[in-house]
Amino acid sequence: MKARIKFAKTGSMKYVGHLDIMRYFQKAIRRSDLPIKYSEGFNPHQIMSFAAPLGVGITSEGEYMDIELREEVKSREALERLQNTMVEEMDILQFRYLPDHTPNAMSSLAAASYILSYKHPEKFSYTLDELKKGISDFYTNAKEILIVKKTKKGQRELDLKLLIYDFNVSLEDDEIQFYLLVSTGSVDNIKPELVLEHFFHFLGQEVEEHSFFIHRLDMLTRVDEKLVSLGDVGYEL
Amino acid sequence: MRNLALSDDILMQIDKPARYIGNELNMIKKNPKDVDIRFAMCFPDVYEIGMSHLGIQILYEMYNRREDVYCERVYSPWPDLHKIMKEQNIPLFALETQDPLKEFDFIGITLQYEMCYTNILQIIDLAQIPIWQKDRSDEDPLIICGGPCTYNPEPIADFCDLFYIGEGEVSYNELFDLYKEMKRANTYTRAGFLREASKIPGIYVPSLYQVSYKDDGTICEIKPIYEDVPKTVKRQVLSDMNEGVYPTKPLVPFVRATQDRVVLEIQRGCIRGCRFCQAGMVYRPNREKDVEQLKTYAKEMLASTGHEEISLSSLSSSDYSKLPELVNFLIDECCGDGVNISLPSLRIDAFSLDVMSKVQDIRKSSLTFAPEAGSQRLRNVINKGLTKDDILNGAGMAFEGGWQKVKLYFMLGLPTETEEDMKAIPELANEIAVRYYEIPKDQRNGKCQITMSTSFFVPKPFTPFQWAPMYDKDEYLRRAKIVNDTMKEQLNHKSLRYNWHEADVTVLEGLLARGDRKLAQAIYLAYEDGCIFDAWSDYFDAEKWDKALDEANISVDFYAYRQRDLDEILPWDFIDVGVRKDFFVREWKRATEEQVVTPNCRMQCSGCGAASFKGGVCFEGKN
Repeated sequence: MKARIKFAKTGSMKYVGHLDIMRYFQKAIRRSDLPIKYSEGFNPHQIMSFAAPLGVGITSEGEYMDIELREEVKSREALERLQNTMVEEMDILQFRYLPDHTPNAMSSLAAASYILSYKHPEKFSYTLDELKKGISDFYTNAKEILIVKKTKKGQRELDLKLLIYDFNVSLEDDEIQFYLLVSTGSVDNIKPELVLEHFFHFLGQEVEEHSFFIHRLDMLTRVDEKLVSLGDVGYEL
Repeated sequence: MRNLALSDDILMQIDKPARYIGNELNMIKKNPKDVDIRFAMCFPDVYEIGMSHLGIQILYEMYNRREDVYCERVYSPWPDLHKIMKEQNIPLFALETQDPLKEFDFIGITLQYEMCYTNILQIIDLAQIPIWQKDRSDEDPLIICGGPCTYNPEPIADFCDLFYIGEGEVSYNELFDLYKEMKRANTYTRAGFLREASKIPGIYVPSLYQVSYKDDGTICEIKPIYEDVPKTVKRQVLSDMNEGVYPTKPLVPFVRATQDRVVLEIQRGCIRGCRFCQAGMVYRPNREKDVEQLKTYAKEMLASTGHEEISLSSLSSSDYSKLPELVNFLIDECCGDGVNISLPSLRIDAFSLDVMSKVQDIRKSSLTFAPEAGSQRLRNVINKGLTKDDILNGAGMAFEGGWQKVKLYFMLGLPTETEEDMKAIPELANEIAVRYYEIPKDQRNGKCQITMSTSFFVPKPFTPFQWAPMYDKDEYLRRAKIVNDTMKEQLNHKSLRYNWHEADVTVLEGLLARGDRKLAQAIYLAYEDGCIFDAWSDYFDAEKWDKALDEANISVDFYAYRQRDLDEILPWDFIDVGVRKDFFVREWKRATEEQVVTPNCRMQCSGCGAASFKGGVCFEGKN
């Protein structure tokens, strides 16, 4: 039986890298004693796959991994068993079963939403209105946003306009927050900080690496041409 | 969000920031306000190494069981962070609360190998505590060291307030009670506490002892400066292993530790008595743990950690009397569901081959032998019972069972070693290869691979070889070359491989292992010049060390290359490890003059002195 687990990784846990998180979950599943399936062979491993790695330094309340179970465990019980073995700042949010032929989270991933804020607000002097106007000039009213993206094989020209699905800015508790919904997955994977980098370049300010706190809100898949949260797929038992 | 000592900007620019955040599974959380004693337990090496150490996990569990103590952890910041902390004046902190170490009552440092000495200075320095013990005030934490290197604490005596000699399970409560009482009664001063602590069994307070030297540089006398301070410090031993605390909920790090598995300590001490081996002497007597208790621990620990592997820890697992019962239990009851067993180096026999074939992929795994010396004569000198027949028969059985790879471990530079002994190393490897090719072609899997590794012998305190001379770097390399050249002459040289250990680290290790208090200045100068992580070949800087030794007027010849007199006062003679010096003298003579082996503890008692601890093998079958 296929199941999808949604989890949050917050606070200091953002400094733990993706490979370590995978190992962490392998051990957590064993501690929870959930009847996970193992692969065949001399070194069997758990059938487990993650929707998309989360970079070091990024927090999230919308991470997903798919597992396969040998037998059914009620969603609520499975969630509690896992949650009871979590460390602080790691939380299991949801445990759902997937219909048999559901593609896994990794291959069905189409977009991800993020909130970004300044690590050092003193380095940015734009008012909220200036930023709003900036977004409409840079994104909303632009025909295209051509950028050159460095890849492993060299460089490639991209039109960001097609890969940004939503982009806005607001003021929350006196803090400027950017909201971004961008294309994510194996084909056109857009990092939110890349968008902001180009946006500030457009405004006339070059930003350094690690200038923004990044928080992933959710990951989405496409169902009938519409973006739907990976967490809305499947059902609870 | 949990409070972190390092800023996001710093954490994002260093390698593996998860080393510094704490929050691991099974981490103990307490409110520091609720305790009387804050203890920072330190392994002075990088996080992944330190987190793999069983001793710290035992003490972490034991201290934290006390309601009045909060024991936290700290490891050596990697050089990238070290640099930032120095530049920005950031005080070193403990992982649990992220509070600065200088606010703690004790900093406990485990000394597992000599090459971590500059890292001890790094810890003290980054903690912003005076490096020299004499410069500390009543407000500074007390620095207490334990672990195998405390069997000669003298080279680092001037940096430490106290040493704990022996097994931590025994005397720590007394030490904590004394500290707490003095704090409560408002009578605590550093000097007053140290004076009282020196009377607790196993506690050595170096500042209360004076060392005088003869004209030739050897020690004239080591004596307490007060009447009430004990003349000798007796090693503390847990006589019944089943009474010790065991961490059944060990910490599970996020960053992959070197030991990423459940570790089950099955016994302490060793019955064998190899004459070069310090652990085999200073952990006497051999004491086994109850097999039923171990089975319970194995289950509990796999459940509490979720580890996918379990391993046994001891100096010589094959000598554990209930090994087959334990291993079969682990295979039957714990394996499966993705859990496997990693076997320690077992003596190769029918039992171990049978077990290995069950838990390992034979074609990928290799057999390990540690003959330590190539010739039978030299194996007798070092008291290594293993014979050539044992090796050839074991390897033969394994080859017939499908194995093709053999690893052999040796030492070069052992006392009495001749060119013949060196040549015997590749000759032995060749004979093993011959044994492989005796198997008909259609019954074997291509070629075999015999790998020889040599380290250079380092004489250690409290061993029968503690008086032995070392050689200089060129001589070690000359010996390695003889092995290498002889290997190339072997009939089966294409199936043989050879690698050897670096020589300049070896000499320094030997110098620090048998040094006295005069070495402190050299360690200090090396640290000031930038030496840290000396155990890491990427960071070890032989030139800086040479310069430091030179400036501190340390003669390598005197400390390392010289044959010491049997009646010389050695820097560590004031420590009583239970095994008596006259036993070491006897063993030295049996090794170098008579060249005979001494039976192991189970075959026959040799009266080494460890029976004074009233436990273990010394009393087996005598009740």
